[in-house]
Amino acid sequence: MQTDLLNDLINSLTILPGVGKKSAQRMALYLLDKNKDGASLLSKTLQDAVETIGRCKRCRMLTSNEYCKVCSDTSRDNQSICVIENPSDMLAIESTGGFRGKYFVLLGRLSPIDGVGPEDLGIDQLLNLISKEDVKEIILATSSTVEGDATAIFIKDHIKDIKVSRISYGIPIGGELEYVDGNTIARAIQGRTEINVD
Amino acid sequence: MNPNDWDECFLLHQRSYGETSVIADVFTKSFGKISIIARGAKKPKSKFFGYLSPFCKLKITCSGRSELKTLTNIDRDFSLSTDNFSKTSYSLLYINELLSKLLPKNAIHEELFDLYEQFLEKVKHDDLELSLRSFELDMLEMLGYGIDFESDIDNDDPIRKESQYRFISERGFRKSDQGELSGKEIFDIRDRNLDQVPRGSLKRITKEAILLCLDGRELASRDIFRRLTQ
Ligand SMILES: [Zn+2]
Repeated sequence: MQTDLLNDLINSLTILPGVGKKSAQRMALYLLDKNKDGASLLSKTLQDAVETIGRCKRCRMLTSNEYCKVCSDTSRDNQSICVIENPSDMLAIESTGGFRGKYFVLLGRLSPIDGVGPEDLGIDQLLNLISKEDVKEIILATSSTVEGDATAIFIKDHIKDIKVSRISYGIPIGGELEYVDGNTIARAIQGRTEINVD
Repeated sequence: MNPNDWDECFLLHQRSYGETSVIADVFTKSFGKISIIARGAKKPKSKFFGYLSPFCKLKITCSGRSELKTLTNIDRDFSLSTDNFSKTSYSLLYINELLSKLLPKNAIHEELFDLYEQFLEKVKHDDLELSLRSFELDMLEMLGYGIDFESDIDNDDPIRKESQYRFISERGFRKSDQGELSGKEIFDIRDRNLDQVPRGSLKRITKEAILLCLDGRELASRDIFRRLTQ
């Protein structure tokens, strides 16, 4: 039987999020027909990345080194750890530049029905980290879902004598109340903060 | 299912479908447990965004003839659902896992729907453990797995108040001088006077009865719940 590499390539491309058969076809034809150099570079980089990128030993972020960029940065504050669900959450927080501490990536959230338990989220590794390093504050930045809440409470329950906070959820900046869904408004009212006028 | 008819339901479980959609198992009053797809529900601008939440009553309309219905409208009374997640919520997750695994699809269970609704209200102020046990016992009965509280499994003799019995899972109560429950306590379970029964025995009975219904499937939320400090 003749192998159909073109078809294999198209099928492989559909594993990407948001890429259906049609877009995969367009991408495959572009790579093979219009930009062969780019295609070679892409395939080499992808191969290298797959082979060398693993998890940071300290925070479970994706990295090609033993420790990720944030963990190996000595200018960062060692005393606060921000606990997040996904590597993309770290990129989102880093892009704001507003946080100078370090992270811990759970790679998911507690979801009993789906069989995701504390051991899948590396919670023991997190607790171990907290007991070894001089951590003063844990910021729980799990998602605003029941599973995200369940995860946050579970972690909080296992941490003693350290300040634990949860990021607040609420009205988007520049947002007007009438366009915000009821759930978010309810959460925002719960998580209200006092106004301090100096 | 008529696309214009609103139905009441509770969300039992949801999972992502593609980048922005969600497939949810919901327990509806009129149709029992069904699966719905909420297209685009993860986009903040979607009319479904923020609505699909467990433990509070939702109103929905759906369309479609296949087994997977398409969610067309959703509504919910937000004033009733501002309670924070707490340790009690883990028990609610456990009950949702039970219903997800034990409720058959597309079979109407209106009585159990009402029971679940009352249970969500009751756990807010009543004793959590006894509320759970009572829900489990009622649920088992409504799903056809009820325990026989009337007769001895060996000889069909009626259970006697003053005798001692042992619970044999899969079957029921057997007279035994070393048994952990008296006949009176068995009747107390039957009549849901649960505060009259030793909690350990009560828990063991419902746990074994539920394990049997699960037929080898595991309950993950119970494990997680156990690891929390009480
Ligand atoms: Zn790291």
